[in-house]
Amino acid sequence: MSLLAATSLDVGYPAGRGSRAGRRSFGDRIVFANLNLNVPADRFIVLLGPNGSGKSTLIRSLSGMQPIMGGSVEVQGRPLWRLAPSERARLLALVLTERFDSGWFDVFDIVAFGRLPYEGLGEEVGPEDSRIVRESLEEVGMADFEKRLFAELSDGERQKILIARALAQATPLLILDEPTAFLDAPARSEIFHLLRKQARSGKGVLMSTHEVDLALREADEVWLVDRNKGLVIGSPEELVLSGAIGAAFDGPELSFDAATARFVAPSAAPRSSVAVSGDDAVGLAWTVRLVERLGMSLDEGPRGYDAELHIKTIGPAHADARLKQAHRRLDRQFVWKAFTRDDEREISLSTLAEVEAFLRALVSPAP
Amino acid sequence: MSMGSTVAAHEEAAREEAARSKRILLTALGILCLALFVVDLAAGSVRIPPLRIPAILFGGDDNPAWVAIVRIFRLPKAITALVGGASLAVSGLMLQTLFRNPLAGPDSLGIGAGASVGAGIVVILAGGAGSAFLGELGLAGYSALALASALGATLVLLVILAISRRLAGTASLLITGILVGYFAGSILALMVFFASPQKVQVYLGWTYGSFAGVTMGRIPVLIGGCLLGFIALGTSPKAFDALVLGDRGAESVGIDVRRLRRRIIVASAILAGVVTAFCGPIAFLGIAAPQGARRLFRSSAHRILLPGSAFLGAFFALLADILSQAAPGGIVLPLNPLLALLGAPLILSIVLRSRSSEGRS
Repeated sequence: MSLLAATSLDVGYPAGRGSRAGRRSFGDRIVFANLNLNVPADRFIVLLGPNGSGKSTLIRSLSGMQPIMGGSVEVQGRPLWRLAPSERARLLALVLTERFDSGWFDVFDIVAFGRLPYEGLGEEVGPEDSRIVRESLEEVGMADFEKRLFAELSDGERQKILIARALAQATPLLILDEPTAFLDAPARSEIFHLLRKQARSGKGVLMSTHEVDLALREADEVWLVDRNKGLVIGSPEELVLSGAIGAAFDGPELSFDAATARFVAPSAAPRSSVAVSGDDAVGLAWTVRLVERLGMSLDEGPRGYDAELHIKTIGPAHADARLKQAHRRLDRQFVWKAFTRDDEREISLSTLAEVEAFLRALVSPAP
Repeated sequence: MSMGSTVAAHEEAAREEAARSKRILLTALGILCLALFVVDLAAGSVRIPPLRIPAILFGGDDNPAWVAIVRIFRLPKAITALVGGASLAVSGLMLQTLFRNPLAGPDSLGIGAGASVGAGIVVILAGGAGSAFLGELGLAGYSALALASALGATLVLLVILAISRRLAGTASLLITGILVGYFAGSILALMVFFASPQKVQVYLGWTYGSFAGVTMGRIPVLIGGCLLGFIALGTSPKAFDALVLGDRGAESVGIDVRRLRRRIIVASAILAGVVTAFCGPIAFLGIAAPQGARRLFRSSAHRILLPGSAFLGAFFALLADILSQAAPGGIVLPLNPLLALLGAPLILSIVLRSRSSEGRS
């Protein structure tokens, strides 16, 4: 079932005051034209684009916070504009970037605002509402925080509380505008996981972000903002393989590397080439990173490889180099067997620091 | 599950307990106001024992001079202080909520000045002036005065609101308020310039601020106007609470922000306008009382802050009125300088504190 559907939607800003919603006039600034979008239940959709690419404009237009410039937006088959604010709040919960001064309100109070669409505005919070507030807090892992002043929380904690507030609205649809901005890396991952979990439990979730790696890893579907082509829609894997991600994000300094899903600087001519092999995927991956960081190539040079590195696992045996869950814990030790082209003797290195020293010596031999 | 629900029940009990202690504090403050009201009736050049006040009010006292003094002169003054203080405080609270600004208030935003222009038009240009500030206006004239003030206040509020949408931030809002205040003040100055000396005298007396200008006959207009404002604000405290989320945030939880904003503007303009018409521009109360209430109750919930600010505003107003008569030799000190002496340090402390703890002052 479609929770949110946009048909021939134009999004942007009117030329001047007095121009009416839905009617175009000369000088209007259209950010996206003729979009057909769909948020089904049970799906985590990420609107991905560089900063300043119009993500917030689109999010606001889809949630009724900004007049649309053409076409229509329907929530469960009903035009968004026909819905009274309280009705809309029962179908669609929003988490916005607006920062606010919450005064003396504690976490419970803030989450309880999510129950406003259901209560009378003069009533106290009832027992049923209190239960839902606490469930929502539990859902985001913040059950112990209910008495804390909202204003004293960290940015990551605040964001989780605001998501709990949205959950307390008990809506089938959840829309979030850049909820991971200002957060540190673990908090960002946590928010993504949390939202994917919500999608798995049946909600339709739409969030905007500029976090490429997390979006590609967690989203069911990506709406990619491309400055030239407008909105490109597909699964994360499709968008990477088709080169769409690279086209949207590549700049003069960095380009998207499809193999590693990372942004890399196009390096100058590699200083030397190293062949890396091994019996452990994690050990291999980080050794490769080290080689790349030192500006070396993993490809064979004109004179063959300058050196070879072979990783062997010692301690708990993990002969299987496939990425298994158990494999991700680094409870093992490695040893690196190294050869150079000029010197066929095998050197045994036991730490990454030694490996790095070995590689550096390769580039600029000690005097 | 059962453990979870026990914890929830425990939390629920703690929450209930906290709410109860706030209600008790609120009741205590209400009783304190009532006591101060009695003291205000007893204080003055003729000292009357406070314990005799109930008898004087309800007709059981045998001292006709005291009965006359209290019923004719002091009762309307005390009622005006009570209602006026409460109204300005509630008006200030709602302006602070509307602008999300701890220093918003009827006077800091120039709304008092706007009300003064409205009142000034009625006093200087239209109405006659008598021995009391506005003594010769009839009841209809008084209603017109109140209405004109409320309109003046609304007009200024709308201007400030329009400007505040383009300018964010506490400082720019206050500067706007000061400028609007200057603007209104210069209109007043021009009106004064062309008015007769007698009316100017009346007008100048009015600008000092006083609760004493209202006779018993005009009290219903004052109470009626303020009641209108209170009723408009009393029904949906939670919607006002939701405004802390920001306009869009409040809208996202189902609040019709445009309508709510309109209601706040009209109600706080009526409250500030009516009081200004009757008492002159009263300084500081509108900022200080809601700020005091926030700090006293450690709450941002309007369910608590609306009555809390009203009580605290009435408390400050009655206190200022009592102090104004405390000078020796029967001299009555003007109200505004007194309120400024009380209020300015408080507001300064808000400014200093707000840098460290955001709005929780």
